[in-house]
Amino acid sequence: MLRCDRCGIDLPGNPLRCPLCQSALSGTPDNTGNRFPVLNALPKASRKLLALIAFGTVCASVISIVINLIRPAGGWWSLFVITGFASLWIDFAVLIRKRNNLTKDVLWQAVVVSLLAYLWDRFTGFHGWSLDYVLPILVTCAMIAITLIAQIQKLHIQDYILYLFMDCMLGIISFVLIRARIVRVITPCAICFGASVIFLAALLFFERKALWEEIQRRLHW
Amino acid sequence: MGQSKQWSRLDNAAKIFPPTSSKRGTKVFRFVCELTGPVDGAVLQHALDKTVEVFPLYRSILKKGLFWYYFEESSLQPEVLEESLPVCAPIYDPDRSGLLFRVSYYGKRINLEVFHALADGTGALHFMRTMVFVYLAEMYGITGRLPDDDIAPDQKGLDAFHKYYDKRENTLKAKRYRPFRIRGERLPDNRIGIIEGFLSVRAVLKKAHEHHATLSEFLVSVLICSIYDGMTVRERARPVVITVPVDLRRFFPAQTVRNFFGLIQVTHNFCQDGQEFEQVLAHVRKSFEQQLTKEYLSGIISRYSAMENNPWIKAIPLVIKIPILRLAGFCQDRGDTAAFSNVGRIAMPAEAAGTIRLFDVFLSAKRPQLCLCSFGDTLSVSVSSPLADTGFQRRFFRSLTDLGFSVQMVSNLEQIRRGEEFHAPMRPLWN
Repeated sequence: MLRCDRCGIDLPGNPLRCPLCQSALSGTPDNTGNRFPVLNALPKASRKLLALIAFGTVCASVISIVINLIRPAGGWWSLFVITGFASLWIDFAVLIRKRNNLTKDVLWQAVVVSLLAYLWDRFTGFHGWSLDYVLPILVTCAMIAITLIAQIQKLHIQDYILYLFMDCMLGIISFVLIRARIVRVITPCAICFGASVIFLAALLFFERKALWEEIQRRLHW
Repeated sequence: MGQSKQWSRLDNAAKIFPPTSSKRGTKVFRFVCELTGPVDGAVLQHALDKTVEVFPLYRSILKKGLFWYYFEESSLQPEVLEESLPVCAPIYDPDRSGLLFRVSYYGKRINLEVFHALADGTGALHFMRTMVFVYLAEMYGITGRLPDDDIAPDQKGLDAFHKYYDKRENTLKAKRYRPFRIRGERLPDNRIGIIEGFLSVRAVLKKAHEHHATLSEFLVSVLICSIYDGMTVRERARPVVITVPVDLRRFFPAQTVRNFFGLIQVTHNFCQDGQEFEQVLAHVRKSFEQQLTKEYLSGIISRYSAMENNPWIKAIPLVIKIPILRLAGFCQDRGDTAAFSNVGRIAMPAEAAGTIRLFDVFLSAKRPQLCLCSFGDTLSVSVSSPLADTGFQRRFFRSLTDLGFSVQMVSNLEQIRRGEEFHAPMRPLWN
């Protein structure tokens, strides 16, 4: 066995130096092998691509500001470019973070995109397109998407029932929007409301127990 | 659509771990069992499959509710892999649901790594012993059984904090000091450096008894003195605070394999309490005696549980609780110099003991942490530290050899350095 004379310790395996004082060892190594494997440094390849895209968007934003400064006629259109990139990144970040749970990701996408659309609409004259079209269409599509993903991935009912339920609840909002005369184009909202009620009814008739259990565990305190 | 999934609450001590785990402090600990022969991965996989059936809680994943985290039964199958991740690498990822433990092997070593929310040392040790025993039984045809493998399933999953929480109990408020902290450059990639020393239990016990101390009291005193030697004169005005997790099962009967521990602290102020080893030891013994009483520990349980059972705190949504718990964890991290954790004697049936060389345990921590366990006559003392400098470890182990103990030592520091050199040949780790 190897030995560090300075520290007075014996070292099994075949280390090159004393872990305590880094001095050279005396004796002959026993052939018991090292106790820990040598691991390569962790890969960092995916970060590089991300950094490249991020750098690209910053460059594009800066270029648009510069052009805007040189030719100020036509208003501050570069702000639209920057906010557009920001919206894209926010949505992209959510998409990537939640990618391991697709049904949850779909619900998040419906919420985040609707919210971003609403903000865009609100600050560009409020023509109402975000509530007329974006929200009801996204919520309806999310309902169908969650059900399809669940079937394809053969998910357990408890893995997605809450997301479907919450999406249905969002769909009910479209009814409120119609009744409160906030939306001008009725059809998408009406379809969204109808779909929500049908999905909700299906959940209550066929999966009442699972839904109740899921609500209980999520709300336990 | 299948059976509805079982779920359970996190026990009191577990609640702090999910929000405070990070790449730097993963809250993961590892049990190692070194055998006399090389480990067979396929047999180990089989042993693991059998063991998980006896410990259904280990099939859980961690999920977020509106108010608290909870465990949910999953159908994921644990997989045995040859060791390919850094020691105590992160296990819990909020965006990826996975099992909360992993089993790997390398050479003659079987490694069990557990996320602390799932179990404490004693709890995970049950799992480890069962798995190792099943492995050895299959490998070497050993018959017999573990001495304590008849714990009822409801006892295993019990939240013992809940059982022993007495609302009327006085909640003690421990005095807080700003302790001395060991600082320095960290190892690359948030790696944890492990130095394991193996001593003779009998020799250390004999020495401790000569000083009229228990093994823990004796080694904590050695630890405090070796920290003192590395302090600058200015720093010596600050107290050294050693956190000592106590297995509450020793005081409050429970067979839970989840968390059931409390933290006590030994605070030594060299200016007031003296610098000589005998003075330190006397002070440490006094601290242990004061805190290791049923009344004091019962107060700790109450203090932990009072917060969890406060209706106002309960009603705060988890998204707001998470940053609060993170802040609490951050303050707790800064509250001590080092930690000392003694898992105790590990018992295995005599038939199996011949094929086992030693057991060992260590924990990922943001500051130096000592973990102890013993098997047969081998006392494993592991120091885990994220710091590149090993001065404190050197002083600690040299004090042990100076006391006349013979120490064998293994470490992963050389492997960390070699792994780095492979990728970045220009970057020196040791100056």
